[in-house]
Amino acid sequence: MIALIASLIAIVVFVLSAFLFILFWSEDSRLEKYYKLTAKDIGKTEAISKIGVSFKTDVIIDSGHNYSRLRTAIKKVISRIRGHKILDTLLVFNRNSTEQRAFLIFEAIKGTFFHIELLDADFIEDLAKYYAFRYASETKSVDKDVKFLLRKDFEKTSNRNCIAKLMDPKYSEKVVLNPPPEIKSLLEEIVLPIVTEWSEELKGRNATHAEKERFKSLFMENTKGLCHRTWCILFIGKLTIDEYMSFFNQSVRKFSKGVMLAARGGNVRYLLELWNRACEIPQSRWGVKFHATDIVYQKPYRGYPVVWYYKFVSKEKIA
Amino acid sequence: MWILFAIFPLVAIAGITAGYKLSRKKVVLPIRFVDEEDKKKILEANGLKLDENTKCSVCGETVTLENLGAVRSTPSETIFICSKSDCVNASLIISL
Ligand SMILES: [Zn+2]
Repeated sequence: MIALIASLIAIVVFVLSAFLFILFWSEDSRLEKYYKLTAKDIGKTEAISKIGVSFKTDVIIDSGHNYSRLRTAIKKVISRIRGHKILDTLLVFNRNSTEQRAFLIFEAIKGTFFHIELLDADFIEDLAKYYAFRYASETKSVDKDVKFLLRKDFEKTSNRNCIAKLMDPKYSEKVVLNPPPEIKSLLEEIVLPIVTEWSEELKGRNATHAEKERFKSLFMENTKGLCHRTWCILFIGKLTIDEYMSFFNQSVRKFSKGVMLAARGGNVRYLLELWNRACEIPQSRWGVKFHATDIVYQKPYRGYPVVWYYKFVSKEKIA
Repeated sequence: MWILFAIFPLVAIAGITAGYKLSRKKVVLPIRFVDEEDKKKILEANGLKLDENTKCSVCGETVTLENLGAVRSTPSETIFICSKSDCVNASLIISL
């Protein structure tokens, strides 16, 4: 009798541990963790946390092992019980294990960037490649080969130089006049916050497709302009209006496509005062016509809600 | 004493169910990595056929058995993707 109970327990323990192994410790689950961890970690990056909705997507991996089909079936049943929506299987051919891992890291990150509406698709694709490469190189658990592959993928992109410039604090000194001390990366402190905050704002207003496209082309022009030094940023802070006026004069002469005026909180009124002054001067004196677009939103700064004001001033040459 | 044994699983089940209800609903995409030698077999098993009109859903290039990178077939449509890494990398997003 005791022998019977003991063997029964042994069988149950064996089945249970085999079951747990294929669910949590197999090659398939290791690959799933690549996806899950990447999506989670990238969501913690401050500049990206606003966009981050990619962990709403999950993957079930079948890497072709003997137990994989059974495992996929079990995981599908669990997902169904949990009320998740299960899509039809995506078949991916001829990827070795390094490529599979790189693919999953990239996809997890792209799943986040996919939600950015106000930048061009090819720029977003390259941004995802940059962040995949950066995530891999900063993460210990990612294999060397995977890091190498993701680095190679980023280096092949056409926006490689532009993204590297926007990430470089030294470069920002070349296109930012009177920077506040905290500007480290134009991409993460200017471009991505504006794009994501404004996208939320437009959602709240039920903006039309045409409206979104207009902002998309403005943001793309500005982003590329910052890389090509045809656009600059002038922060309005503690100086006098006369001093800012002289900065504005300088930037209009030096940067061929436009100037972005930026202020937050109490400094917004100085920005408006400066702009009024600039509008009083006949534009023929500069030989250009200005087109201004205001991007205004509220966002906490050091814990307090603060108004952020950006005036995108595009230049149009007049004969 | 025995009543405790009976209550414990009930409490556990109730807890797990409540946890699942609270967790966010997700979209789950099963991905199957297929080796070269299994390619043909799996396409046949799924009733998928390639012909000269089969184009990559990302770049538009003609897809053959040799340059097939990914496939996803739903009751309403079948997406074929060529083996260029940019196209394969777009396959998951296209699938969502
Ligand atoms: Zn293609």
